[in-house]
Amino acid sequence: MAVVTLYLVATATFILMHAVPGNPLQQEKAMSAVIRQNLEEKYGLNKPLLQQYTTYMSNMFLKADFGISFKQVNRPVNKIIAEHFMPSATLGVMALFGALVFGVILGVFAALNRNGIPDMFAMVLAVLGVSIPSFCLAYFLQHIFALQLGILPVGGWGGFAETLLPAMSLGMIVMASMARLMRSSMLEVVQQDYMKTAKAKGLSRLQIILKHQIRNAVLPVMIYFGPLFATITTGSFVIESIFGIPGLGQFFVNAVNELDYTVIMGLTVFYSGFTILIILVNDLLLAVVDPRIRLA
Amino acid sequence: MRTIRSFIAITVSSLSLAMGLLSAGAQAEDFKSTAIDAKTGTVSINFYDEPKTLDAQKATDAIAMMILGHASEGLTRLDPADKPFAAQAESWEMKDKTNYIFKIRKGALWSDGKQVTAHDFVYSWRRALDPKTASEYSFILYAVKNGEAINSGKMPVENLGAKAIDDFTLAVELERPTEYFLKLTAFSTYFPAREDSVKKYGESYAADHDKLLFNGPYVITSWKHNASLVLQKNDKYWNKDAIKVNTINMPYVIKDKNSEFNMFKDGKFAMTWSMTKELLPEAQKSKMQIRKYNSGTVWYFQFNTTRAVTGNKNFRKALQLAMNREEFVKQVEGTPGTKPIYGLIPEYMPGIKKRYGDEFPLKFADAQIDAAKMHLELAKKELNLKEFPELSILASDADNVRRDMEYFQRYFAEKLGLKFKLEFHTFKVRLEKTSSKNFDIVNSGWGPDYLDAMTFADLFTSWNQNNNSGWSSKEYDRLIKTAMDSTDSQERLKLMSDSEKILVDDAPIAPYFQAFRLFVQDSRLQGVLRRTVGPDPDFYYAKIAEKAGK
Repeated sequence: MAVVTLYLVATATFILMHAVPGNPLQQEKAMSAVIRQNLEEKYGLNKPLLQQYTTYMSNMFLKADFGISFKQVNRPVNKIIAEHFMPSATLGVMALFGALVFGVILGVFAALNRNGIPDMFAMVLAVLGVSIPSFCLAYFLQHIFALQLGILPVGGWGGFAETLLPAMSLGMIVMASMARLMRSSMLEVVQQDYMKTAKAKGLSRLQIILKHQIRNAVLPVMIYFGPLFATITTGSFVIESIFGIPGLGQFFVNAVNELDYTVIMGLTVFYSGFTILIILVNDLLLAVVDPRIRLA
Repeated sequence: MRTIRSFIAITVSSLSLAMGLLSAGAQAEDFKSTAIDAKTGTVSINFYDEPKTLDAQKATDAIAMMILGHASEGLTRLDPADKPFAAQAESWEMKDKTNYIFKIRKGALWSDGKQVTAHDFVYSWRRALDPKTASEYSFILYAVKNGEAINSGKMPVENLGAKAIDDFTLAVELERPTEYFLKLTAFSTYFPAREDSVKKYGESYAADHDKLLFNGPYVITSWKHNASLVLQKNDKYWNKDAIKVNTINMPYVIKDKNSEFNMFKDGKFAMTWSMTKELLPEAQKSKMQIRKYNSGTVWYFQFNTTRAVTGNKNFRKALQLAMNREEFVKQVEGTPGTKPIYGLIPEYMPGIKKRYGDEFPLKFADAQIDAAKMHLELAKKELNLKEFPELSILASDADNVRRDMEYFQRYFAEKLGLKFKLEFHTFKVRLEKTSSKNFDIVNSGWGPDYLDAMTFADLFTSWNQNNNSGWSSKEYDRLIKTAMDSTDSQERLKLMSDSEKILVDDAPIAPYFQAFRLFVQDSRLQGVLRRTVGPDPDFYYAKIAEKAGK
């Protein structure tokens, strides 16, 4: 099933990509017919589209070879993905971990104090988190933590300190959404019969919250978490540009602008494959948390 | 209550943990200014963009030319006044207008210690022109005898007018007298390459810093793709004593201009590549050293003369005369230094004694609305139209271009009652639409490849593939051809100036501004050149001053 999905994604990308006017060899300065011919030959663009398609597909699925980039001359797409995925993944994992911890805490905290001042405070924070675009937050954090307080670097990549501001910028919106989701989920769970049973059994409030309420309420958050994981860990163009992170996010946008066919194909297939994998892992994890899923 | 308290406790402890991590991170790094280290002679600047390739014969982008201009060198190099001086060639002799003999400098070495020879130049020039190499900048070598014929596959590379008489003597025959040839030899496509190195690495030649030899004032000691690059002073360089900055460190790729500015402010970069005019007030407030440089690019509207309305001379003249370039430059573009332009050849190009613009000034009145309306009426009659249809202006999707085009859309509607639809496209789509003449009017920019008026003047000849207007003029072609063959500098410039007048009169294009860029620079860093052509920024003359200068 996963292979069929990947095949369909790759085919759709191939068709859409070639439907866009222009080609990757086109440059600001016109080139002579002979040079164009030679470049087309080098990249196989002189062959009929169907042949290009079958070559791409067989190289991709049989040899796991995504070809070489048009923009970065002679650089294999596999190498681009291998080198630039790690910074994006590191940042994504940090952002998601922070978002999960703080989002769940904030959501639980708000739900337990429903309509109280702490609830309003948490939800105002969550609404702000959802509505402030990540680039605004990024500049704001840069300004406060780097330029005013001078405790974190403005940008760059290398040490742990460099990861904090981009991770916060990236994670804020996720944290806010998780907090809201967790809150409503907690409030829904509290109505369930098993909560009354737990209370009737004489469990303490903390035990009820931890063992019954949070465990059940966290399920929708986890379902939401899976696909998000793939999106966030494969990079963000905006955050990477602002903080100068050598991640994968920039390639998604630049490759489309440059019509870098091989990079577009490679990244799309990689992203799809990664998403499929993460959803699978997520489903398995859900089964661990929720025995009903395992039984089903 | 107990639960609330425990959650407060959890929240507080999580926050403390986060703050702890923050401060641990902060302590792990040294946040003092690292932009300039006077002790080690290190200057840090933005890596700005990943070069497409560092193969000198294939390089096309500005960042590659900047790096190659430091890590490699041609027969000549340009001084601060853009005059060529002896570099890998220690001297030359001009036998006649089309024949040069270059003496290769003894002691001009490759980074592996071997002597740079005349054979290395012959090899690299042939390689650049060989159609199999598919070099996009090969046209710059058409100045050399048979260059164009070789590049179009009509002749073998052995026929090139460049021969190595011995290791230290290079004889070059030109296709036609080329006054600026010694400037061309400073361009990266003319840099030498060693055959054994190119053959050894094959397809991966120059793909990494250890798959490339250097013969310039710097060597690349580290290149992490899309991440960082380090240029270290080359101890084997013939003129190493003149190089004062030991290391040019490019630690991060920051494409966002606001972030680049913040990195400068935070002491991580010694200069910015450029900055937007919106950052100007902050830079002024912080008393930063603000500088400007000529980007060299001329912007113009190009009309598709193969279409009915834009093919009408009176319609084009109306737009050309109605435009208010002064107002645009001051109120819309707004970058200090940016100038209105009326013809195609920018004023900064060299003239005989002064600049081209001083010797052949070209200007007419802005905002000639009445004259423009008259031309529109004539166009209507000629085209048999009651009203003009809504035409489109094709442009790139960059923010500043959107702003400029929206200004012109409003301006033409207000002043002439003409409606234009704006079509913004990504880079490649715009190029495709332009080259396939799928546009009414396209907003175009042209930057010089070398410092001679010809880099602009030949753009609208019938044979130039970058002329997308569909316009041609026999007289224009004749003037340019004559100028190309001319050996008299005064006559050449006069011919080009005459051709420019034809362009203004027939108006296949309507030029409107010549771009300048702003940047900020640490005042301890001195002597860095910002160039219109060649490596930009150029650190050849740079030095780190002990005290901040002006």
